[in-house]
Amino acid sequence: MSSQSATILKFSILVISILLMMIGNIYFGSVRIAASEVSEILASGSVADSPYSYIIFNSRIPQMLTAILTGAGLSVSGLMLQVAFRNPLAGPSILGVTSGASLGVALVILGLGGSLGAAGMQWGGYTAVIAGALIGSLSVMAVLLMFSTWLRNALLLLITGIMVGYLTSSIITLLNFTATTEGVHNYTMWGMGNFNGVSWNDMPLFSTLTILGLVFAILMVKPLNIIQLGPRYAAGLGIDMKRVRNKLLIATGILTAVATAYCGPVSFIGLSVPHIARMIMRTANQRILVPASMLGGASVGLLCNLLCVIPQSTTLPLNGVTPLVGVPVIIYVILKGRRK
Amino acid sequence: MTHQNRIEIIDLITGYKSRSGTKVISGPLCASVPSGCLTSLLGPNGAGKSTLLRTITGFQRPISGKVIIEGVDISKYNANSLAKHIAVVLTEKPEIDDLRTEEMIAMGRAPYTGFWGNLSEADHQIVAKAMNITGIGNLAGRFISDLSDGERQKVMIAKALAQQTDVILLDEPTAFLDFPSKVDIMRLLSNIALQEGKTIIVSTHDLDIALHLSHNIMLLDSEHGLTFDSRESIISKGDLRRYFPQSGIDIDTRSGRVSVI
Repeated sequence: MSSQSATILKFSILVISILLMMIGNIYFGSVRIAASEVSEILASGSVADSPYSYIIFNSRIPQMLTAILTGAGLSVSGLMLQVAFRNPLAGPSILGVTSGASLGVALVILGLGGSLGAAGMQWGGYTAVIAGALIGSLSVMAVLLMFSTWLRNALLLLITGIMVGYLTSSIITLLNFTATTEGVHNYTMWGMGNFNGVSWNDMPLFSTLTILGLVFAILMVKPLNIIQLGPRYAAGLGIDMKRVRNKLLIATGILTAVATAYCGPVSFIGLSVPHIARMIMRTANQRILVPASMLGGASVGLLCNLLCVIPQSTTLPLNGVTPLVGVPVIIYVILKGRRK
Repeated sequence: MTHQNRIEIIDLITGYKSRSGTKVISGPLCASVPSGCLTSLLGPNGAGKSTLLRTITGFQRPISGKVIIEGVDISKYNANSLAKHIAVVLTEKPEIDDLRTEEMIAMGRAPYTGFWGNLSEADHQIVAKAMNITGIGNLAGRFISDLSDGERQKVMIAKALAQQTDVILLDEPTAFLDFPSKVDIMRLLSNIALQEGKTIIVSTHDLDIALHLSHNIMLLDSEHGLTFDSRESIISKGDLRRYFPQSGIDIDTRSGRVSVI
């Protein structure tokens, strides 16, 4: 079938784009290292006998892996939320899930008086941050679930999510007001988003949790396909939409919490990448869209990380870059929806 | 095992149970619907037609009474096996971008496919047959968002056929269609009931079309409860006048012709 070979071609292009971006992420960074030297360091494979090899093995490679996993996790979260709420504008940041996670993190960072700097955070500190983020994001999910039984209208639910986001932001503002200068500074830095917060020590927990979330999404492709039809048609096919939706919300809650705890409240990737996947694949089949969103998210994550280091001497905050990718996509989706 | 009556409704009371109490919509209702016929469910707004259909599909629990399909109480089926006995078509149209007609119809195979939802060669053949029966083979590769409302309902009927159930329930499937499409859909349903031996119940407000094209009529309102009979007896007994007493409509007891006075 020709459509099948087109799909394979598109997936190949996604994979190639990830490989190219990975190479870019290793060869370019805020510190300029000659390409020949990078190749030499990679070939020798030895860690930490020079500052450059330290940068490559302990900064650029973990950062690259973080960008891949976070990009994939947030994107598939966005996809699952868009299907669960049957709303193309659903996403972890719009629905307030990211803000919930942020509030949890703020309570830990600001509440503990800034002793846990984003740079100097210890293992125990990160566990507390992750726990805070998880509790925050799952609480927002619980609120959304509660409202979703009352609010049939998906738009009203979206507005509820935005309101929850404002509410958590106001609490964060109050926390900032009473916190120490150092705490505020740390929280502000974290809030700008970055992919460099995951050291090799953090990698096992971070990657395990994220990969679990990704695997869960893959296991859900059949019910994801069916709930697109709405609750009554889904029930007619033997699928309880509410039960599926609860599972999806828990999975996205965990994926978003982990991403937010380590990388800050990363905006727009979750919202926009599923649409990029739909534009490329031109299908509603989740068996294609789930992996395409993951690959696309990894690619966009790597791209954003690369854009952050363009000014060489310094690293731009991630959230200064993600809207450049996200906003045009969202405007396109809104305009496309208006034409109907 | 074959049963004379595909659907048995026994002392069924439909409605909602909530913390504040029980709200009865209609009942007790009784009817035996035989296989291989098209039954139109008629009644004024608010009579509980949708609630009755939702209860027969198992989407809503009855307050009391039973619905028996193929000799088994529907509360004994699990969700997946119920989906192999009853298929539904609704008024609402699923708004999904980039979904092709063929893929939509293939959703009907969901109760039969495995964990990943992969379609076998046999599944593809069943989908193709469903498209043939509904006469939409030429729409296979089109996006459903590009179809007309009438075409889209045919796709949903094809999905119901692909589900290979004995019973198909349709909740006002023609509500938003133009007149020729309404007739087209009802004629299609009548043919499917006869040729495929399906038991089809369709709720509708199109009295005249229903009286012409269905084999049986089910009348429902809060005052008289449920009356089920063949089209001919319903017309000749004048049951319709009891159910539609409003002045301004006359139903001829011989021809079944509906006229506005």
